[in-house]
Amino acid sequence: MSRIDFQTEPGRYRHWRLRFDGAVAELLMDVDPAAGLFEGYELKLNSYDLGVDIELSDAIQRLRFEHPEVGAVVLRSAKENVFCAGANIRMLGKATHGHKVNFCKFTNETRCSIEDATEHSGQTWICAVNGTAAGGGYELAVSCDSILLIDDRRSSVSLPETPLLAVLPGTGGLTRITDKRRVRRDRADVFCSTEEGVRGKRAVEWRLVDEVVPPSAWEARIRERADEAAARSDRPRAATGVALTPLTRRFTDDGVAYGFVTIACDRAAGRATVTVAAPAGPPPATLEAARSAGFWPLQAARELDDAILHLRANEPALGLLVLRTEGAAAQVLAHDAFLEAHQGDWFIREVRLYWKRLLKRIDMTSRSLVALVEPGSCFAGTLAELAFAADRSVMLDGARAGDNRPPAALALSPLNFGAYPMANGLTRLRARFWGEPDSVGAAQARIGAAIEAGEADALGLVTMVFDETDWDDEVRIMLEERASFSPDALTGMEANLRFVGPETMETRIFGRLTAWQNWIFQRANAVGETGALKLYGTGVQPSYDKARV
Amino acid sequence: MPDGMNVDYDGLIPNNVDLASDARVKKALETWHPGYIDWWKDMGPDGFQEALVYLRTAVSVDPKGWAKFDYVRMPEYKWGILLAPRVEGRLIGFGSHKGEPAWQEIPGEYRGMLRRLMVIQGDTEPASVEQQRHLGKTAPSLYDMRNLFQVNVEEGRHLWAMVYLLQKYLGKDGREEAEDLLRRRSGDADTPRMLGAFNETTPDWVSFFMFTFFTDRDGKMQLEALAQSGFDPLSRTCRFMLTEEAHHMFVGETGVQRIIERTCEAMKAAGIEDPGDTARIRALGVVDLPALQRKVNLHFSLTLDLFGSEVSTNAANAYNSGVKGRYREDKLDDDHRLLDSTYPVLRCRDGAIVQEAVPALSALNMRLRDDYVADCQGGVNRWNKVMEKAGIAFRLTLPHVAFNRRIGEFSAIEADPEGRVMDAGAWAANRDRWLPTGDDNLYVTGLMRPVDTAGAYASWIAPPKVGIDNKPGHFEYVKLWDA
Amino acid sequence: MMDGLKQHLIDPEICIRCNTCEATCPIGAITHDDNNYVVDAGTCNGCMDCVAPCPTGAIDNWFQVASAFSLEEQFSWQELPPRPAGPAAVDALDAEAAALIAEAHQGAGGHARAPASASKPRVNLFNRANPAMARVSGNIRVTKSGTSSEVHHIILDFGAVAFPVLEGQSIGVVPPGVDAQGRPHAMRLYSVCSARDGERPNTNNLALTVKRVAEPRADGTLFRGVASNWLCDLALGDSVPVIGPFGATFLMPDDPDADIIMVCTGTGAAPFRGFTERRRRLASSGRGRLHLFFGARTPQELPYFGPLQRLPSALLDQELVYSRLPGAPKEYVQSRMRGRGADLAALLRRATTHLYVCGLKGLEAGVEEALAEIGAAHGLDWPMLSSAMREEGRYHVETY
Repeated sequence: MSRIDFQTEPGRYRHWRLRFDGAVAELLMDVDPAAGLFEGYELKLNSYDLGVDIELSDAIQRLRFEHPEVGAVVLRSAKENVFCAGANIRMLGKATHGHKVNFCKFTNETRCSIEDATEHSGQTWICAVNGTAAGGGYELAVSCDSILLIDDRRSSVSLPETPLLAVLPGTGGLTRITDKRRVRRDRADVFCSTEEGVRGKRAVEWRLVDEVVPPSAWEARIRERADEAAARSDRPRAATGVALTPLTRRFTDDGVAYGFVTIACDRAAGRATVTVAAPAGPPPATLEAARSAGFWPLQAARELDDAILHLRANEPALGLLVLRTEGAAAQVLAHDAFLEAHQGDWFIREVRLYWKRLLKRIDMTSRSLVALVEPGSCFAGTLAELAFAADRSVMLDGARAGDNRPPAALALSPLNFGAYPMANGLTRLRARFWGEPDSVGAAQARIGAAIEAGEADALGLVTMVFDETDWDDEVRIMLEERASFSPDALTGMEANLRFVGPETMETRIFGRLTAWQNWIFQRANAVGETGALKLYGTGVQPSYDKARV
Repeated sequence: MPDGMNVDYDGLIPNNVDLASDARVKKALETWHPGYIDWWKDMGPDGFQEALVYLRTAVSVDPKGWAKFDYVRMPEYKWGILLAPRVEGRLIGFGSHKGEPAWQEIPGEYRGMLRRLMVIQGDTEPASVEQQRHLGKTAPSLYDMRNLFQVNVEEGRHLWAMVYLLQKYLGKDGREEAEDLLRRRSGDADTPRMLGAFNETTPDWVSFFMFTFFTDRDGKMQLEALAQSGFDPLSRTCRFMLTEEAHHMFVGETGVQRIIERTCEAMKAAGIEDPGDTARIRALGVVDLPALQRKVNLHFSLTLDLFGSEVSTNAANAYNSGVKGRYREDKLDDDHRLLDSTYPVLRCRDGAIVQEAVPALSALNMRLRDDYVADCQGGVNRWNKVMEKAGIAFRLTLPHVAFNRRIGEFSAIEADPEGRVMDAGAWAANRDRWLPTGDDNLYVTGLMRPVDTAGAYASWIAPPKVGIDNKPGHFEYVKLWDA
Repeated sequence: MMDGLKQHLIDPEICIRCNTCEATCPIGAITHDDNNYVVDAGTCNGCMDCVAPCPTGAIDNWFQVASAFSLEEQFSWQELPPRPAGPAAVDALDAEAAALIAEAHQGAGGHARAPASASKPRVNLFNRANPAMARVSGNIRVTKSGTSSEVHHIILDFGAVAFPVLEGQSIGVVPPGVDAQGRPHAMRLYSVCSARDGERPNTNNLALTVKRVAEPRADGTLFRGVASNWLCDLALGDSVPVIGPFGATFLMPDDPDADIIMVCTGTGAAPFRGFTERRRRLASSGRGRLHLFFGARTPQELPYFGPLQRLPSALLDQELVYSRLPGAPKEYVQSRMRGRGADLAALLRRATTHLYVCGLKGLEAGVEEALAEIGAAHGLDWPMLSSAMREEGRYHVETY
């Protein structure tokens, strides 16, 4: 199978078009049926596969970075009478379980990034449903801030997965209708089991959409709402965007080399080492100088993001990710200080938000994550979050013989205490110290200091500390042992332990909804030879094992 | 006697479904009725509500006494609910339920599918009445006017038929859908009818005849497929509707045929041999045959769009679940399950038209469309006989299925009427050779002058061979002035 | 009786191949190929189910042929072969009924035609072998008791069976049992005296006017008509096999502007009661009026005397004429017609006037004579007018 590439740009889009008019942008979905990511299905009726979503994700990202003037984004369909029919069923029917899971995870992350843009970037997403929005189509709509539904007496919104496909609306649909749109749960039950969905007045009454608009008033009303939203935005109308220029990447059999990030695969051991390098020098002198794709925090984030997505999609057998950093911790902290000092700037805000989302993506990655904190590493500030995201972090105590670099040290910056909340709303340190809140304060008191192994251990910032004598064997055995466990059990265990404490809509989506969906995806009722996903489109009715599990 | 032969005339609504003892549905229909009459008065034939029209009213489902002819004011037409008699022991004839007894109630799992099919079918019925509401004013004869109104009142009855099923079998949802059927309006920006072709206007009588020949024929095919349904009330309804639908086919086919006859006759009388001698032919006040061909191209291609996607999951589901069969399924000789067979389908692949074997279940829309095309071709052949007999060197043809399409595989490409793929520029440059031009429309519109003397016909159309109900040529089919 | 058979054919020039007939035929007698829809003469039993649903009229062709056209011949046709000579309208496929009707219609001279605006009648839907079963739901005497003329009004209810009739059509009945030779009785035809939508609106029944035949023979015995006595003696609820309907010409015009002159004696009033009921139910939708000349011996012997008195003159202009009224000179309908000569002449000048004569044989001769006289007196060429009216389906005679 050819490599799935998460990098694209508007000139290469097959499925989307962007239109700009002052502070309002329109993102038009116009899926090319013939341009599916794989063979064997057609993307009819604006149905999507991972390829469509990669473009969507790219568009969302570019709207944020390249278009500071845009305060409102209207998401709509360029096709007549259909908004979006959701994920392509034939694709799902043919896909491996692993692909389905990864696909759903990515689409969920993309939907969350739409909400993030509305909530934090001053870019309000408005969905103009000008035709049928079914399943994933409606889930796309509910990830927007508000939904307008055209009242042409035929356009409807629906979540027909359960009656039609024997699966769940797994891209947040089940969660968002109750948690975000606050649809009464019994009505949600009716809605989610009604194949044809709901349209018109009832859709508003049930809070499934915000407004129904007659076709004659349609365009004007969309524009009106978009203008209102844009007027509320704090984004600078006159600013120039930062172009997200293509990443420099080099793929080899054993890995990928980016500017600041490298992936080294050890296929025999079933693991990959991801190394992030610190910036070579101090942050730019001015904000203006920072505004480029080469600004270290932005470039490193883009590279690491792509690396994680690449590993998820293309290297499923590498179950263990070893997280490393290298370079000058001081430069990382200096960049953190720059990010902190200019946090009111639209671009710096976007960079910080990007890191927030990237770290969440790492949290959601179903690989065992082990951070190795060694001499020469720079787990400082923003990069220290990688160690806190890992399932375990192991720190070398002291220096290695013959290595004249200083002993390994961790460092904290103010960004570790609020800039990068997890899906559960907690900082990684608060989640880490869920049972010992005082430890957060103790760590916070050490902002800026080089925290060597002994202190790090005492503060609870690392899992284990080994000196040089034990290091190689302990690390080797730990990694080998980890690689020997059932990958399924590890995925489940890690996903449970990473998210302590409170539930949020997001954790419910990635936890409860995704877990059930992934279970259903394994069941014969959905994917067996006579299951609904397999038979969809053949006209043959699925037959279900009616026993409840 | 078989169940359902008795027709009850006592209530407001003639029916053979024992409405009198079904208080719930009776109330629903009686509640719906005033809205229907308002709709008819608002959207039915404009300017002729008081005229006495010699109409056929379906009064029974027994072929021996099924229809009566009489002068009726259209708003007083007896729109009834008539289902073909129940066949005892009828079995489902196809799909995964083949051989099981036909359903007398809607199975829960097919509720949505049946509702959708019935709503779409129901929506087309009032739509065409709305599309045709201004035509009475330019009728080429009282005979044609009567036929138009007959088509209109029967489309109205077909709406009743679907509304009955919705109200009887789909409860509250069904009642809401029934209301919505009266609220949508053909061509309305805010509340359009559901299918594209039913939102186009029917601007003149040539279009009307083409519409009834081509587009009503799609309706006939859909009814034929639904008449096979395992849901027995739907099957019985559609079987009876088909009897009426045949009249609509008749109006379309003979309408165009009479135009051709008149044109041929006028050309011969004037000694014109070249069918392309447009100026001289048009000077005779008849429709030139190439213009007619362009109308054929337009209406045929618009109607093909109604058959939906070439490869369709919905069609496969509807078939396999026993809800919608193939055209004359009961006459076909195969396993009636289609799980293992394929069907050849013309598809668009990298801009070329290719034939592919597609799983037969997924290709049911195409199968129905192919049957439709064959049915159309029969009519076109009969039209051509008129020209042949008259010795006029012109033949009408159906354009290729890839020509002028907006829905399905071929919407992505441009093809000429012979099915040759071309780029958009070349197509646009030739458009006026293939589709009605502004000139055509102006000319045809100019011909549309009302003729309302009994027995007289407009210059561009020949009288019919046989009158309705055996009436002679001068029969006053519509009494306009007694009203 | 005619030789050969009446073959049912479909006109390929008019047929649009809609399949309605094939779908309707209960016995699979209709089939098609790529060219034509055709009827298999060997299978078709003339049940007529296919006729009404045909949208074009192509279905309704009945050719008197010596031997049937084969399916192959029919498939090859582009048009029907030349139509054999004979009446265009088919009164009955049933030879027995056809002969009876032909005889009754002789009096008009020449082939009868239906009024131009008459509804298309359904004929021969039921035959001897497969009659419609009706139930007697009324049987009352409509002449005063004590008179020698005993006329019954008999209502036959068809329940769930469709038995469509038009005013002026007849039905056939066959009395039960066998005749002196041990053969089944001959069929009798009776005119329907109710309107097309039933004895009361929207009922599925029809009514007959039947006179009990009981006449003294020369030898002093009483001749008792088998059929009429059987019918007049029927009790409520009795079952009656009914054949037909028959008759395709003696029909009323649907044109509400048409004037209708109706001349009758005795039970010849039956079809006119139907006409009158029809017009009464349509209320005042047209300009046309009915004009009745009705002869009987006395008012007591005039069927429906009572109901006739209640009809408004705007609907029905009635002349009741008595030949045995005590203390009055004998009068016959033809003399009363002469008395209304000016009115009749004015009516006959209108192209929308229809004239019907119904009663005992001989009545038509008297009426002809009277009309010829009236014509002469008012400048109308009755012989020419009558044949024109006959050709246009506006002059009808049914006598027996």
